[in-house]
Amino acid sequence: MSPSELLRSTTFRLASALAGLFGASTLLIFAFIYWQTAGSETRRIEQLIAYDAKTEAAEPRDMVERFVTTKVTQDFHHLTYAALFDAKGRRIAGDLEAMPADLPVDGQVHVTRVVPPGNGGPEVETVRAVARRLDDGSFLVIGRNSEELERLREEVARALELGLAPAILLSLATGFLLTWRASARLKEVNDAAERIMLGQLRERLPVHGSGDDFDRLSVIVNRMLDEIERLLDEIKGTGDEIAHDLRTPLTRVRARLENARRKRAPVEELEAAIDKAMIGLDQALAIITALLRIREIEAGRRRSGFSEIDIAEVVAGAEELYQPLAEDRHIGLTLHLDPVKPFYGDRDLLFELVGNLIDNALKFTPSGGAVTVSLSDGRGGRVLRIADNGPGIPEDERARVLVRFYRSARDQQIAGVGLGLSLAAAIAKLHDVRIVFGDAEPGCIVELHFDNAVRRAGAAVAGRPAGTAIAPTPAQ
Amino acid sequence: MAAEEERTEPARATDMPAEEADWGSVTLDARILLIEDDRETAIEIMKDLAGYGYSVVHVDTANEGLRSARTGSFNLLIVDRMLPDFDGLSLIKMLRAEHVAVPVLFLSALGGVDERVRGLRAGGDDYLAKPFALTELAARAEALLRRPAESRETVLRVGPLELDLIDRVARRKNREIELLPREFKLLEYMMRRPSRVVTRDMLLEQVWNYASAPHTNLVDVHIGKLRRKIDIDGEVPLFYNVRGIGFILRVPE
Repeated sequence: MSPSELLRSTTFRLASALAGLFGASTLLIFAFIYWQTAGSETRRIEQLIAYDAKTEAAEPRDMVERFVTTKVTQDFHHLTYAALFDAKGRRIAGDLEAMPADLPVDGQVHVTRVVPPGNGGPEVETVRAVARRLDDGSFLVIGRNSEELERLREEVARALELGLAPAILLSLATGFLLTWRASARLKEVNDAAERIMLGQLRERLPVHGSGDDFDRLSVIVNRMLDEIERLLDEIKGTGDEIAHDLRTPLTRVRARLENARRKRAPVEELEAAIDKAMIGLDQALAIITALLRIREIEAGRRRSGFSEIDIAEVVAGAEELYQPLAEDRHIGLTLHLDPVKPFYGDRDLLFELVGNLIDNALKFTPSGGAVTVSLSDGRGGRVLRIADNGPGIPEDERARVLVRFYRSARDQQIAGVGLGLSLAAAIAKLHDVRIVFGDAEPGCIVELHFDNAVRRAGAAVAGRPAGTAIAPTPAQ
Repeated sequence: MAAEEERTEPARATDMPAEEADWGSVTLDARILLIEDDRETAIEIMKDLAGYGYSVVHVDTANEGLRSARTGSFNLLIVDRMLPDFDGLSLIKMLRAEHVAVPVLFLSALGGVDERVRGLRAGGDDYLAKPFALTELAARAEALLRRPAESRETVLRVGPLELDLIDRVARRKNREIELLPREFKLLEYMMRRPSRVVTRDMLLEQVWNYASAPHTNLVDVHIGKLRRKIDIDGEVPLFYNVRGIGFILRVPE
């Protein structure tokens, strides 16, 4: 990792911010301690000198002089100053050159500047001092410098140095370590992602099993990748099937046209060849149209046409449309409609769904058979049941009949591009309608369950042991 | 799917007299403006429509189309939805805003049901998704050019056939014909357009309100059933099947 990457990494920034915050709060604490300590020290000093001044001022003059002299001679460190001046401000005793000009003579402690006795030059010092007038008109000045406070400040600074610097260094080091670890994980993920992007779709992000944030994120991404891989496989499969199903009619068209062209056939034959070619092209176009429709519906963009509709009316309409076809094929198409509560959906699409299922049932029912369409509202909710007495769908093929282009072996001899049921499945999925296949012994039962609550309850195919539920849910 | 079914179950209505060549001989003095940017498609459409006696003017941009349509000298506009300069929908919206009332037929590669609805909402009178059969286009163009006038007639008549719209009864000569509601609607639609081809898709759209024609042979079955009620043995047939295109109801000369 380059230094600039390090500086940009979130972990490192967080660690730095934390170190900064830690430093600032330590500083604050020390400042507070210093402020408290210095304050009480100052007050102590002030009380002391004010008391000294007051006590001495009450003494006789010679006692005061002695006090001043003693204080000066005993104070090697020049911590305190004491001096006695006559009424005109001339020094009588003590270690101050002159009366501080701005010091009020009021017995209170003031901060003032004094010139200490000549050990070189007029070095001015800031002190706390108190001045009092004695009975004979002379002045007593007692002062004290702030060296202790200085020392205190130094102590605090040293404590800070010893405490704060290692703390900041420690947090920076921790930050660096965390960043390094995170970036190592990031690199792993990045490498895996690179490989996936290069086409190794089976690759997954590493999961260390520690359950940390990275693991959790990786698990989510991996699940997403699983789904993408599944979809890609599906698309690829569908693509192959589309290509195959388009290739068949197109190959036929091409062969017919080529033959007709080469044979110098008479006009009628040419016309027949063209007619057949056009039928072949129409078929290819019908496949494309149907696929586009399925895609449109699957994309779920068709919800704009949703409204409260009467399923019974839709079913009756579909039955009416298909009745003549049933009559033509000598199949009894009967309808049983119970009144049901309105359903929220797209009328045209549901019509198409029901129509497709009826069409399918008619297709697989032999002449003289029967197709029964019944709508009921029972304990399982609103159910539309379409039963035929044709050959039925083998149990192991039931899940597959809704998959695009799938045609079971049983209908090899029956025409159709196999998209009707895929379309039905797409419409059902859009409406959250569940399609269940069952056995009518003989024949096939297709049920549409309009009440999604049933699915959520998991009571999928109760009472219909041979049934197969195709729940229209994404991402299993 | 539809095409395949037609192949395997050839002409549901085979019991119907088939008519081949003479549809299209009905000429109509009409001027059509074709706004289509694909020249090859345009040339084929023009050839075909000219065969019916229409005079067709072709332009390939929406701007030119707008200019030409404003002259008011056309009886029908055939408009591609996607034009190089701007959308056919906007073009028609602009014309409608200027109160140009000429019938409009949209052609579009956008076949979705929603697209159709959008086209009709924008002021189109019909919508044909590409690819389409030229005969389908011709039949629809004719239907728009000869749109039945809003008649106050309560009884429709085609030769010996009579349809009473008030009493909901159909008669042929003195024979009363029992019709289901949908059959009645189907017959009414055909009787309002005598001697004209109506295609399967047109019937699905207009009689069944079915926007995405799924199994067009269903229409054949319905027509066949209706025809068996109307043309019975010994009577002059009134229903004709125009192969590959649709149906005609007419009195033979």
